[in-house]
Amino acid sequence: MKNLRLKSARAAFDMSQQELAQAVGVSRQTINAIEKGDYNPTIKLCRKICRVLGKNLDELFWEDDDDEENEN
Amino acid sequence: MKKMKTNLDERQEQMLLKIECRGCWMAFWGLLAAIFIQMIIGRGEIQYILGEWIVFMALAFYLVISCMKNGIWDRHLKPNRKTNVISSLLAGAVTGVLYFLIYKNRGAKTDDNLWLALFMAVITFVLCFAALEISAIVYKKRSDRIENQEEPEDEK
Repeated sequence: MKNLRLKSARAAFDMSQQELAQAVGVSRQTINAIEKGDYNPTIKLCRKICRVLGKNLDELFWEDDDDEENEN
Repeated sequence: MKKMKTNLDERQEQMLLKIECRGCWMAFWGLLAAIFIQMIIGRGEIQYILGEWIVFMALAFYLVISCMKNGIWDRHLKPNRKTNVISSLLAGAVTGVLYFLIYKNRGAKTDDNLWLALFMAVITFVLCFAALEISAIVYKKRSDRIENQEEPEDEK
Protein backbone atom coordinates (compact mmCIF):
# COMPACT_ATOMS: atom_id res chain seq x y z
CA MET A 1 0.00 0.00 0.00
CA LYS A 2 1.37 3.41 -0.98
CA ASN A 3 2.54 5.67 1.82
CA LEU A 4 0.99 8.92 0.64
CA ARG A 5 1.36 10.50 4.07
CA LEU A 6 5.12 10.23 3.85
CA LYS A 7 5.07 11.63 0.34
CA SER A 8 2.97 14.63 1.33
CA ALA A 9 5.02 15.28 4.49
CA ARG A 10 8.15 15.27 2.37
CA ALA A 11 6.52 17.59 -0.17
CA ALA A 12 5.45 19.94 2.64
CA PHE A 13 9.10 20.25 3.57
CA ASP A 14 9.92 20.84 -0.10
CA MET A 15 12.31 17.93 0.00
CA SER A 16 13.11 15.61 -2.85
CA GLN A 17 13.41 11.87 -2.30
CA GLN A 18 17.16 12.31 -2.74
CA GLU A 19 17.35 14.98 -0.02
CA LEU A 20 15.31 12.93 2.43
CA ALA A 21 17.40 9.88 1.63
CA GLN A 22 20.59 11.78 2.35
CA ALA A 23 19.18 13.19 5.58
CA VAL A 24 18.35 9.74 6.94
CA GLY A 25 21.35 7.94 5.44
CA VAL A 26 19.71 5.61 2.93
CA SER A 27 19.51 5.44 -0.87
CA ARG A 28 16.87 7.29 -2.88
CA GLN A 29 15.56 3.92 -4.08
CA THR A 30 14.76 3.01 -0.48
CA ILE A 31 12.69 6.17 0.09
CA ASN A 32 10.97 5.52 -3.24
CA ALA A 33 10.24 1.90 -2.22
CA ILE A 34 8.77 3.04 1.14
CA GLU A 35 6.52 5.60 -0.57
CA LYS A 36 5.39 3.03 -3.12
CA GLY A 37 4.70 0.52 -0.34
CA ASP A 38 7.24 -1.95 -1.73
CA TYR A 39 9.40 -1.91 1.39
CA ASN A 40 8.54 -1.94 5.10
CA PRO A 41 11.23 0.07 6.87
CA THR A 42 12.57 -0.95 10.27
CA ILE A 43 11.42 1.03 13.29
CA LYS A 44 14.89 2.58 13.43
CA LEU A 45 14.54 4.06 9.93
CA CYS A 46 10.92 5.10 10.59
CA ARG A 47 12.11 7.10 13.60
CA LYS A 48 14.87 8.77 11.60
CA ILE A 49 12.39 9.80 8.90
CA CYS A 50 9.96 11.12 11.52
CA ARG A 51 12.72 13.15 13.16
CA VAL A 52 13.74 14.74 9.85
CA LEU A 53 10.14 15.53 8.84
CA GLY A 54 9.07 16.67 12.30
CA LYS A 55 6.27 14.13 12.55
CA ASN A 56 5.54 11.27 14.88
CA LEU A 57 5.31 7.60 13.96
CA ASP A 58 1.51 7.57 13.99
CA GLU A 59 1.28 10.46 11.57
CA LEU A 60 3.53 8.83 8.98
CA PHE A 61 3.35 5.09 9.49
CA TRP A 62 0.23 4.18 11.42
CA GLU A 63 -2.19 2.10 9.38
CA ASP A 64 -5.91 2.10 10.12
CA ASP A 65 -7.79 -1.20 10.31
CA ASP A 66 -9.30 -0.41 6.89
CA ASP A 67 -5.81 0.01 5.41
CA GLU A 68 -4.70 -3.35 6.80
CA GLU A 69 -7.82 -5.08 5.47
CA ASN A 70 -7.25 -3.58 2.03
CA GLU A 71 -3.68 -4.80 2.13
CA ASN A 72 -4.79 -8.37 2.94
CA MET B 1 34.77 -7.84 16.99
CA LYS B 2 34.48 -4.49 15.24
CA LYS B 3 31.81 -4.42 12.53
CA MET B 4 33.00 -3.47 9.05
CA LYS B 5 31.46 -0.33 7.61
CA THR B 6 28.71 -1.16 5.14
CA ASN B 7 27.86 0.75 1.96
CA LEU B 8 24.32 -0.59 1.98
CA ASP B 9 21.20 0.71 3.67
CA GLU B 10 18.75 -1.68 5.34
CA ARG B 11 16.63 -2.32 2.22
CA GLN B 12 19.70 -2.99 0.11
CA GLU B 13 21.05 -5.25 2.87
CA GLN B 14 17.81 -7.27 2.81
CA MET B 15 17.90 -7.41 -0.97
CA LEU B 16 21.52 -8.64 -0.90
CA LEU B 17 20.57 -11.32 1.63
CA LYS B 18 17.77 -12.46 -0.70
CA ILE B 19 20.17 -12.57 -3.66
CA GLU B 20 22.75 -14.50 -1.63
CA CYS B 21 20.01 -16.86 -0.42
CA ARG B 22 18.93 -17.60 -4.01
CA GLY B 23 22.58 -18.08 -4.97
CA CYS B 24 23.06 -20.54 -2.11
CA TRP B 25 20.08 -22.66 -3.22
CA MET B 26 21.17 -22.48 -6.87
CA ALA B 27 24.58 -23.82 -5.80
CA PHE B 28 22.94 -26.53 -3.67
CA TRP B 29 20.59 -27.87 -6.35
CA GLY B 30 23.16 -27.23 -9.11
CA LEU B 31 25.73 -29.38 -7.33
CA LEU B 32 23.19 -32.13 -6.76
CA ALA B 33 22.17 -32.00 -10.44
CA ALA B 34 25.85 -32.09 -11.49
CA ILE B 35 26.46 -35.19 -9.34
CA PHE B 36 23.33 -36.91 -10.72
CA ILE B 37 24.20 -36.09 -14.34
CA GLN B 38 27.75 -37.38 -13.93
CA MET B 39 26.40 -40.59 -12.41
CA ILE B 40 23.90 -41.08 -15.23
CA ILE B 41 26.42 -40.50 -18.02
CA GLY B 42 28.77 -43.01 -16.46
CA ARG B 43 31.20 -40.76 -14.65
CA GLY B 44 29.85 -41.62 -11.23
CA GLU B 45 33.10 -42.96 -9.82
CA ILE B 46 34.28 -41.18 -6.70
CA GLN B 47 37.25 -39.51 -8.42
CA TYR B 48 34.88 -37.69 -10.79
CA ILE B 49 32.38 -36.46 -8.25
CA LEU B 50 34.50 -36.06 -5.12
CA GLY B 51 34.87 -32.26 -5.37
CA GLU B 52 31.18 -31.63 -5.97
CA TRP B 53 30.24 -34.13 -3.28
CA ILE B 54 32.47 -32.49 -0.62
CA VAL B 55 31.12 -29.00 -1.37
CA PHE B 56 27.54 -30.31 -1.47
CA MET B 57 27.87 -32.14 1.85
CA ALA B 58 29.61 -29.17 3.51
CA LEU B 59 26.78 -26.91 2.35
CA ALA B 60 24.13 -29.40 3.50
CA PHE B 61 25.74 -29.86 6.93
CA TYR B 62 26.18 -26.12 7.37
CA LEU B 63 22.50 -25.49 6.58
CA VAL B 64 21.24 -28.29 8.83
CA ILE B 65 23.46 -27.47 11.80
CA SER B 66 22.80 -23.72 11.60
CA CYS B 67 19.05 -24.26 11.43
CA MET B 68 19.08 -26.73 14.32
CA LYS B 69 21.19 -24.39 16.44
CA ASN B 70 18.65 -21.62 15.92
CA GLY B 71 15.59 -23.81 16.43
CA ILE B 72 14.46 -23.63 12.79
CA TRP B 73 13.07 -26.63 10.89
CA ASP B 74 11.49 -25.48 7.63
CA ARG B 75 9.38 -22.65 6.27
CA HIS B 76 6.44 -24.88 5.33
CA LEU B 77 7.03 -28.42 6.59
CA LYS B 78 6.67 -29.62 10.16
CA PRO B 79 8.89 -32.25 11.77
CA ASN B 80 6.29 -35.00 12.15
CA ARG B 81 6.23 -38.63 11.08
CA LYS B 82 3.87 -38.10 8.13
CA THR B 83 6.12 -35.43 6.60
CA ASN B 84 9.22 -37.51 7.24
CA VAL B 85 7.67 -40.54 5.53
CA ILE B 86 6.58 -38.49 2.50
CA SER B 87 9.98 -36.77 2.18
CA SER B 88 11.82 -40.09 2.50
CA LEU B 89 9.52 -41.72 -0.07
CA LEU B 90 10.29 -38.87 -2.48
CA ALA B 91 14.03 -39.24 -1.91
CA GLY B 92 13.71 -43.01 -2.38
CA ALA B 93 11.74 -42.59 -5.61
CA VAL B 94 14.28 -40.11 -7.05
CA THR B 95 17.16 -42.44 -6.13
CA GLY B 96 15.31 -45.42 -7.63
CA VAL B 97 14.82 -43.62 -10.94
CA LEU B 98 18.42 -42.37 -10.89
CA TYR B 99 19.87 -45.84 -10.33
CA PHE B 100 17.50 -47.33 -12.91
CA LEU B 101 18.99 -44.93 -15.46
CA ILE B 102 22.55 -45.60 -14.28
CA TYR B 103 22.21 -49.39 -14.55
CA LYS B 104 20.36 -49.06 -17.85
CA ASN B 105 23.27 -47.02 -19.26
CA ARG B 106 25.66 -49.70 -18.05
CA GLY B 107 23.70 -52.25 -20.08
CA ALA B 108 22.15 -54.28 -17.23
CA LYS B 109 19.18 -56.55 -17.97
CA THR B 110 15.85 -54.81 -17.35
CA ASP B 111 14.81 -57.27 -14.59
CA ASP B 112 18.11 -56.97 -12.70
CA ASN B 113 18.05 -53.27 -13.32
CA LEU B 114 14.61 -52.91 -11.71
CA TRP B 115 15.58 -54.95 -8.64
CA LEU B 116 18.81 -53.01 -8.15
CA ALA B 117 17.02 -49.69 -8.52
CA LEU B 118 14.33 -50.82 -6.08
CA PHE B 119 17.01 -51.93 -3.60
CA MET B 120 18.71 -48.51 -3.79
CA ALA B 121 15.33 -46.78 -3.40
CA VAL B 122 14.52 -48.79 -0.26
CA ILE B 123 17.97 -48.18 1.25
CA THR B 124 17.62 -44.44 0.55
CA PHE B 125 14.14 -44.39 2.06
CA VAL B 126 15.34 -46.10 5.26
CA LEU B 127 18.44 -43.90 5.65
CA CYS B 128 16.52 -40.72 4.86
CA PHE B 129 13.72 -41.60 7.26
CA ALA B 130 16.20 -42.42 10.03
CA ALA B 131 18.10 -39.16 9.44
CA LEU B 132 14.88 -37.13 9.46
CA GLU B 133 13.56 -38.82 12.60
CA ILE B 134 16.84 -38.25 14.46
CA SER B 135 16.99 -34.64 13.22
CA ALA B 136 13.39 -34.07 14.31
CA ILE B 137 14.20 -35.30 17.84
CA VAL B 138 17.30 -33.09 18.03
CA TYR B 139 15.32 -30.13 16.64
CA LYS B 140 12.49 -30.55 19.16
CA LYS B 141 14.95 -30.72 22.07
CA ARG B 142 16.81 -27.66 20.85
CA SER B 143 13.62 -25.76 20.10
CA ASP B 144 12.22 -26.52 23.58
CA ARG B 145 15.48 -25.40 25.16
CA ILE B 146 15.45 -22.09 23.29
CA GLU B 147 11.77 -21.46 24.04
CA ASN B 148 12.12 -22.23 27.74
CA GLN B 149 15.30 -20.26 28.31
CA GLU B 150 15.00 -18.01 31.32
CA GLU B 151 15.04 -14.29 30.68
CA PRO B 152 18.15 -12.59 31.98
CA GLU B 153 17.40 -10.53 35.11
CA ASP B 154 18.00 -7.15 33.43
CA GLU B 155 15.50 -7.90 30.64
CA LYS B 156 12.59 -8.70 32.96
